[in-house]
Amino acid sequence: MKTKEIKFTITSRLENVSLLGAAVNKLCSANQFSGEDAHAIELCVVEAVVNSIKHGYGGKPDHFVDVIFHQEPDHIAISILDTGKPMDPKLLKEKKPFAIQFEPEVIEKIPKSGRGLPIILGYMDDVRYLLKGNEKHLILIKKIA
Amino acid sequence: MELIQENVNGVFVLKLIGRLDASCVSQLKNAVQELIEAKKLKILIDMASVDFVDSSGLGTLVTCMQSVNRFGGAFKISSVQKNPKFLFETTRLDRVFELFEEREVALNSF
Repeated sequence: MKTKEIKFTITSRLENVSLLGAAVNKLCSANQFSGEDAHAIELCVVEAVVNSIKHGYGGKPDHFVDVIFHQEPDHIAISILDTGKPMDPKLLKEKKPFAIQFEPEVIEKIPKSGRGLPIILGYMDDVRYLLKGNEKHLILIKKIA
Repeated sequence: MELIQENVNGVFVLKLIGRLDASCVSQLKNAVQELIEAKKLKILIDMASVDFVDSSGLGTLVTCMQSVNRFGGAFKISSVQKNPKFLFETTRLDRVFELFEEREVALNSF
């Protein structure tokens, strides 16, 4: 099977993100992923795109976020591209899959945010971050079982 | 997301329909804040019709629970679907929220 690729572009508005999520979910389902895996990959893409909009572009709505879905014989790679403020690459090493530290009994101190990247690291098989000129690429990789 | 509010014997049920994600979390936050201001402090979030929750949705549920707790109220969640439930578990928030499989059981627990 040859590599296939499709690119989606949205303007940096949170209400557009679910459209990307739905498209990615369908593409994953068409690539032998279970419903649960397709949902998890959709969630990771949503988290990444929301981070681009909120942190990269500071919530400003007139920018663009690209999502490129690459289909390979044994895996998929989803690239999320924006030209906003870069993420600190150290975060990828510092954050642990799924985990943010808190004590469940101390309700007042449970963090309200900071779960996006740990969720991505938890569900995906590999996550890479590249800077190319003013473009930032977050690449999410999932093997096809 | 659509949000329907009901009063069931003094428990204020917020039934969410659709996706609980970054684009609509302020809707839930505002609804809970209005209930708190009206001293309606028994709150149940019915998630039977929510098929997608992201980290912003989870964070907002945490914020709402903390706000209700601060005023001595009770904040509970029922009927979380399979995929969102997995997210609650992997983020360990299932240990934080009072989660009920069934809405009626949750209503009777107040």
